[in-house]
Amino acid sequence: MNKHRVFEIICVVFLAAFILFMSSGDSYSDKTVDEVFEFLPQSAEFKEFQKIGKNKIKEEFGFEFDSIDSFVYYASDSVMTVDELMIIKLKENAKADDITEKIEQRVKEKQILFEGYAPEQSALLKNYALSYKDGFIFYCVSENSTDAMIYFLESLK
Amino acid sequence: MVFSSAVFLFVFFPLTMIVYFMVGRSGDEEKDIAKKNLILCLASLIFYAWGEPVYIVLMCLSIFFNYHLGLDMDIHRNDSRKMKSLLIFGVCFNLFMLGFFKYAGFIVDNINSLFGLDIEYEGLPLPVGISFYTFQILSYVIDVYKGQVKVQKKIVNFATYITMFPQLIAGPIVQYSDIEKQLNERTVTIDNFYDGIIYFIKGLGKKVLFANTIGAVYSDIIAQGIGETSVVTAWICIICYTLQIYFDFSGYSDMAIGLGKMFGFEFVQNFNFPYRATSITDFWRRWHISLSSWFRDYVYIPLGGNRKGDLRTIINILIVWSLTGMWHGAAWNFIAWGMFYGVLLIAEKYLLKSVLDRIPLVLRHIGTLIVVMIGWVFFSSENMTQATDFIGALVGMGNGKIIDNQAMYLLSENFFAILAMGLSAAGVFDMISTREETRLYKSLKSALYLVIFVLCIAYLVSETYNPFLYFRF
Repeated sequence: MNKHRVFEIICVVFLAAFILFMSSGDSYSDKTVDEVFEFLPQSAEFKEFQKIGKNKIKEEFGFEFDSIDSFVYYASDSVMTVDELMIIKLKENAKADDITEKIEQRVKEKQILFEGYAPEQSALLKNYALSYKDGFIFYCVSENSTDAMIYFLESLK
Repeated sequence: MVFSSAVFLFVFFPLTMIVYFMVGRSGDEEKDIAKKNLILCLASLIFYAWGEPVYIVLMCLSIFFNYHLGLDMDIHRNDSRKMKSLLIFGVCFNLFMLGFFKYAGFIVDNINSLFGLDIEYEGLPLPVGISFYTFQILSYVIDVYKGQVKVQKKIVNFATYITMFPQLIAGPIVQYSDIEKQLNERTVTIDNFYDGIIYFIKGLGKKVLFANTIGAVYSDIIAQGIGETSVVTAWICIICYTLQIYFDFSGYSDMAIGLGKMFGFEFVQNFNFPYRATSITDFWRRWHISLSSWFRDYVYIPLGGNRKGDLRTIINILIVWSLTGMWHGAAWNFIAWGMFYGVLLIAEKYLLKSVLDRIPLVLRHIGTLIVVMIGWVFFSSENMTQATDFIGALVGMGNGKIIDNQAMYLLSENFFAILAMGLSAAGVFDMISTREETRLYKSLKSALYLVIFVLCIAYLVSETYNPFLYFRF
């Protein structure tokens, strides 16, 4: 057996090992944020709200966009309406922890803001839904946040 | 990393250029090129790893395997049985890699639905550019087998061919025979470099100013549900997509060719005003030329091409076009799209040729364009249901109206943009600009391209909508 054949076989073995390694890790969906968003029955309701852009999100949540592939974010322009929906698609292999922590931090800040004088909003904020699956982060504050999250998880199947 | 990003334009590319032109100035041409290739290869690996560091492993494995396979073939050059087994081994390795990462989910889904099974499959992200670089590697392996190219004995040169960032993730698919010589000797002249910049900015403008703008209109219509639109809205939608995919992909190809020129490479042209075509056969001589050439050279001709009778030719065409569809994506709508063209090409070849010759040229242009747009319906749709809804809307089965307020609004807002882009796609502006390059003309041209570049940057800074359609292949 010549040395090139040995290298070829080594490459085959490494390929098999690489596939096993990749298959055991986190999966990543090829869906787009728009597809996931449109799958939610709640999407029509949120389309009535304002679609928020990158700069405003940076300001509100403090995200670094280096790890974000794409996103949709709808929120009301009224300060007394806390309903909002955000779906973020991360770049492949990007970490979700930093972004989910920032979302949780912002929810806490809002809860403090409304606590005591706006019970309805406070209840909604306590009932927020935050989830991560297959490279997507889902965040929702709404009466139907849990339902929306179930549909979000369903959309990635 | 994409070409139309600030990181590429203002950090990666200038730094690579500086290092590339700083090294290899000893005067010893062979050593200088070797150093430049090394820089280009390293820069390309960084470029690839920027988006997905994990898959750099897959690419390196592929490089090592195929480099050694080539050398192994070279040793057994006179043993045809061994050569054949090495070729089969190499083709299987490369196709398995492509098949596993691109088609495994599709195959499992179809097995599940066909046999009522519930085999679990965790989807893996598609390695960017895998379809492009696998086809490039296959061209090398097959050409070495046939003895049409010399085996590449320098691993850096081979890795440079595979990884070269200008064409790595979205083509054009460069066949090894086209670039073999350039890997060992090439020069960059001022004129070449200038042409490269012009090509690059032209591509950037196509992508950022045209494709992104018209793509946003298409996405908005689709988001509202294509099955519920009027006939005119559905046609506006598919016209927008037709323009978006052309400017998006040809823009990226222009950028790749331009970057190649700046490094001294000459890549094949990938587009030749495809929407000027007068038949489907003509269209495929003008659209994604490098892919059509690849399938012609490595599938159609080895299968026998048109040399084994009509029935065999028809089968060969259908095989090639179903594979072309599958190359674009692991979904039935892509296969349907490929077969759609396969059937049309067969019809043109055997049934319509004499009819087409009698039709006035203008009608042939229009007819071809309409057929191509219907093809894009299959291509752009997420699945076959959406594709049939879309086709339904085009023929009046959407909301039942020919024209409605949405269509009027879309027309009033986008008519001139669509017209300008349509003229540009047809090459009208290029016809105007093809003239003798006097000094004044060259200065004006440079100023115009500078303005286009500034506009692109302004757009990229202010807009978040910057998709790239051919990345998913």
